[in-house]
Amino acid sequence: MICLCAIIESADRLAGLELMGLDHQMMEYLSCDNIAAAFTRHTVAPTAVAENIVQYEQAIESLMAHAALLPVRFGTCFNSEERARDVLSNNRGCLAEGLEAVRGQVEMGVRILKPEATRRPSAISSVRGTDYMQARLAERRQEEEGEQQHLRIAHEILSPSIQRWPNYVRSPVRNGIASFAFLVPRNDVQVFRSAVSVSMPSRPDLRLLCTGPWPAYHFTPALSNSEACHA
Amino acid sequence: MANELSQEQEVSLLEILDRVLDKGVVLTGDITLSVADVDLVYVGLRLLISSAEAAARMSSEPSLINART
Repeated sequence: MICLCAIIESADRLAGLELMGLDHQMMEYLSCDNIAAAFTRHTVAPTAVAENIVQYEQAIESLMAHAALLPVRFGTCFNSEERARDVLSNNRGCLAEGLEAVRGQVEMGVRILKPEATRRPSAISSVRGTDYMQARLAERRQEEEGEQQHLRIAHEILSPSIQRWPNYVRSPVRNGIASFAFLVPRNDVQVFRSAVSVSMPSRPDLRLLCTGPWPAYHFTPALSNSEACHA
Repeated sequence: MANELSQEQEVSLLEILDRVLDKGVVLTGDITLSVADVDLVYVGLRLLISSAEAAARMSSEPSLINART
């Protein structure tokens, strides 16, 4: 079987490069009209364990150094090249547009972490069912208010970055972490890091994690019906 | 695993898991990944794993994660 790694514009510029993919397999390419896919061959489907996931990400990053690409979600495997080519063909229009949108750009991740001390364990101790549920509801509402407040602060901190790099997506706050992904021109990476880091002194009680450059995972086209997106 | 990691290490791992398992182009594949006998990832339909925390938890228990066609 073959497992897709990324959608690329053309395999031509990758010819001659010996890039390794998942499970230390050599990266191969299949073309379909104006797009191509990078893939690896496997006898069984790779398991979703941390080692494979990290290796998969590294393989996509090695490709990213040589070509504009759209990363394919882990575990997208086909029983034959023909089947994969059919799926690519059905989606070639959306994929080509997606490639165009991320050309020359990378994704930068920003996570803003609340201090550990503010994330308290549950204090509910009631043994009566009704009391417990009411206390749990009140606690949850308090958590949601805290999340909203954290999100407002995160937006405030990142406001200059949002103005300069307006193409961003935000994930829901989870476990005290507000998470953003920005699409940034490749040449702006250092500028972006600097811009984000200088905004933090205003809130020394928070911690910030800036990661990247990543492939544009958060900016891939949404294929609502992958069989219905034609060129 | 999570208890042994600092918050920042945990977040770094989540950065990768969030992207590789939860983002990227979703194409209709032929392979279904499953955890135990409960299908969590229907690659042939849509990927259903949306929780990076759950994925991190599972990655510490590789024996629970299988792939099947």
